[in-house]
Amino acid sequence: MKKLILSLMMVCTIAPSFYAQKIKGSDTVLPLAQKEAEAFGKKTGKSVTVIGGGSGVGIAALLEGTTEIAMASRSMKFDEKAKCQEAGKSIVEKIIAYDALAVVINPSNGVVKLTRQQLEDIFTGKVTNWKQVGGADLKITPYSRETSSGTYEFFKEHVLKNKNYMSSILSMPATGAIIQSVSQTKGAIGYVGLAYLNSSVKAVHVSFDGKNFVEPSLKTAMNKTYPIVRPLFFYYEKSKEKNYLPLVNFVLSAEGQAIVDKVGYVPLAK
Amino acid sequence: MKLKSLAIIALGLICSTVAFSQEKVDSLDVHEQRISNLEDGVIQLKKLKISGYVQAQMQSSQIDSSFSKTNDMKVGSAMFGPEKVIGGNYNRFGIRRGRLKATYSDFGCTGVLELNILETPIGTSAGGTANGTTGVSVKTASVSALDPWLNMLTLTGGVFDRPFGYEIGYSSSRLESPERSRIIQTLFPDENDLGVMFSLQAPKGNPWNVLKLDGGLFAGNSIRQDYKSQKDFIGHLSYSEGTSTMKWGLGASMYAGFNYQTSRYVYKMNNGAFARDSSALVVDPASTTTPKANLNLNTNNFANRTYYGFDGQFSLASVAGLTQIRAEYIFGTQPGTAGSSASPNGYEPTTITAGADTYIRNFNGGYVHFVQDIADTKHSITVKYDWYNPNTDINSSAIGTALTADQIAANAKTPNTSKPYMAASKTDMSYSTIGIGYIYRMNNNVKLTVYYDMVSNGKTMLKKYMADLTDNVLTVRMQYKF
Repeated sequence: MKKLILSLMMVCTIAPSFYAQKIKGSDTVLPLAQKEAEAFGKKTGKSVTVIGGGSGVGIAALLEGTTEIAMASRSMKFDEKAKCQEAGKSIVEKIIAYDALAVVINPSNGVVKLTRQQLEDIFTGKVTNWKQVGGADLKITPYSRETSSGTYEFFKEHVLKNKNYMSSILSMPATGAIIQSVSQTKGAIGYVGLAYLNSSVKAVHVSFDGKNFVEPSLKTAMNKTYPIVRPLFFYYEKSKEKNYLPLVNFVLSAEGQAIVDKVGYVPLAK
Repeated sequence: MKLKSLAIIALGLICSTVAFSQEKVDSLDVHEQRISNLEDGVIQLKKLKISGYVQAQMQSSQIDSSFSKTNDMKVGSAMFGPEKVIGGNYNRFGIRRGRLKATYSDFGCTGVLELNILETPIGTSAGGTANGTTGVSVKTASVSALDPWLNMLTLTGGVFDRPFGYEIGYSSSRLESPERSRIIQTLFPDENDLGVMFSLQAPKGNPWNVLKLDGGLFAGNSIRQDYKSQKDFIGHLSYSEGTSTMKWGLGASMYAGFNYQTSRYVYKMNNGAFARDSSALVVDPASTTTPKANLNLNTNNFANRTYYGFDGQFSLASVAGLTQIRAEYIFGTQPGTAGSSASPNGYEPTTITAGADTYIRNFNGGYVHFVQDIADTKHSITVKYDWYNPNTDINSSAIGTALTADQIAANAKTPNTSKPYMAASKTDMSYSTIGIGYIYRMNNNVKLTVYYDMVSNGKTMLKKYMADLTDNVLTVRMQYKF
C-alpha cells in the first residue's frame, strides 16, 4: 500500500510536465492571455504556453493542429472558415474580453474630436491636411498596422466600412511602433488598443453619429458609449471542447475577468 | 523501509525536475545561440513545402450500346471485345490521381515540381488493349518570380495551369465532383500547358488588389513538348472580393490559338453538313495535268482555335453551413477531326498520319455547380449540371439525316475519300450531365465522396444514337491529402 501511494506521488510530480496546453495568435491578446495562463497555472497546476505572432498565425496554427487554442483580435475571415469546413473541423468562437481602439495623434496637435467619416477620409487619403478637419495647416501622416494584423482588419471593417487604406499609408509591425511614431511626428495619426495608451500620445474623441463625441476609456468602453470597441476571441475545435473548458471557464469567471480589467482590457458585462 | 521510502520520493522529485528541465543550466548566451540556430534551421525548412494527395476510387457504369467501357469512367482499362458482366454494370478500381508536389519559395520566387503517380498501365499485347493511364508523369514543373520593386508583376514559366476560367485552376483535391465539366476536359486536357505567363495584381492592402490579370503564350499541346513556332495566347481577367461571411468573383477569359493542319482539306459547316473549304484550293499554274492540280495550301498551315469564357463564383457562410455556387460559360471555334472535337493532347508531328482532315466547329458549353455544407458538420451535398455542344451549327436531331441531292451529286463526282460534303456524326452530338454527390470530410486529411453522374446525349438519327445512351456513372472515392 505504501509502495502504491509513493508510486502515485511520483506520477503526480511527473504528470504536470506532460500537460501543456498551447494558445497562439494575436499580439493584442498576448499580454492578457499570458496573465490568464499564469493565474490558471497557479490555481490548477496546469501548464499553458502562450505564443504571439498575430491573429492570422494563430488561426492557421489551429487549422494545422499545431495549437489547441487560437487567440484573435478579429473574427475569422471567410477563407479561414472555408478551410475549417474543408478540414472537417467545427470551430467554437468564444469572446473573452473587449478592447477599445483609441485613435491617437501627436500631443501638439490641436484637434480634439473627429467623426467616423473624417477618420475614413483621413485613412483612405481623401483628407490630407489637418486644416480640413478643424486643425492647423499641417500635412496628415497616417499610420496603420500591417495587413496580417487583426487590429488592421477590425479598423478597416468597422471604421473605414471596408474601404481600402490609402496605398501610401505607413505600415507598422506592432502597436508600440505606432505609439512611438505618432509621438515623434507632429502631423501623425494612428490607432492603438486602449491598454497601450500613454502620455506620449493624445487620444481623440470619436463620434459615429456626428453629435456625441466620446473619449476612449475603460468606463466608456464598458458602458458602450465609445463606438470603437472590438471583441477578443478564443477559437478551438468543438470536438475537443472538454479539454479546454477548464481554461476557458477560468478566463470567463469573475477571477479571470478581474485579470482582464487589470491588464487594461474591457471585461465582459456581468 | 523509511530509507527506501525516502529514496523513492527523492527519485520522484528528481524525475519531475528532469521532466521540467532536461538540460543542465547553461548561460543565457548559450541558450540564445541554440535557439537562434534552431530558428535559422526552421526558417530554411519552411521555404520547402511538400504536399500531395491520393484518390483511390471505384467506378461503376451502365452498359452502353457499344458494349465497351464508357470514356466517362476515368479509371481502369477497356477489355477487347464486349465485356461480360455480372449485375448489369461495368466496374473498375483505380487510382484516379496520385500527386506529389514540392514547392520552394524564397526572395519572392517559387519553384514547383509536381508528379502524377498512377497504377502501372496495361501494355499492348496480343489480344490486349493499351489503356491511357501512365505510371509516373510530370504534372507541373514551373518557376515564378515576383518583381521586387512594385510587388505586382509575376513571371511564370514551365508547365502549369492554363489561365482560363475558374475550374481549370481549382485544385482536383478540392473539387467536389469527381471530374471537371465535360467542356473543360475536352478543350483543356490535363488542365496544364507549357508556356510563359505574366500575372498582374496589386499587393494586398491596395484597393486594386481585387483585380488580377493573367496572360501568356503557350505551346497548346497540353503537358507535352512544344512542336510549333506559332504560340497560343491565353488570358484571364478576374475580380474577387469578400466580407467575413461571403465571397464573390467574376472573370472573363480568352484563348487565341492554332491547331496544326495535317491534310489538304478543311471542313466547315454549311447547310447542315460539313463542306470542304475550297477557298484554299488554288489552281497550281505550274501544274501540267488536265485539269490542273490544286496547290495544297492547307497542309502545314494552322487552323484558328478561339475560345471566349465567362465565370462567376459566390460563397456564403451562414448557420446553414457554407454555400457555394460556381458557373462558367464558354463558346468559340474549335478545330478537330471527323472523330473528335478534343484539343490536341500529345500531338506528335513526326508520327501523325497525313489525311486527318481538319473539321472546324463552333461550340458552346459550361456548368453550374452547387455545394452545400450541412451546418458545421463534416457532411456536404453537391449538385452539378454541365453541358457541351460541340457543334452549334446543327441540332442533334438533325445528325444522321441524309445529305441533300446536290450534296450527294457533288460527292459522286469526287473519287477520293475527302468528299466535298461530309455528314455530321456522333462527334457532333451534344451532351448534358447532372451529377449528385455526397461528401464526408473525416478529418484534415481524408475525404469520402459518393457521386452519381446522369449523362444524357442529344438524340440523333444515327442508328446507335437514336435514344439516350445508358452510360450513367457511379463514383465512390476516398482521398488522402497532406
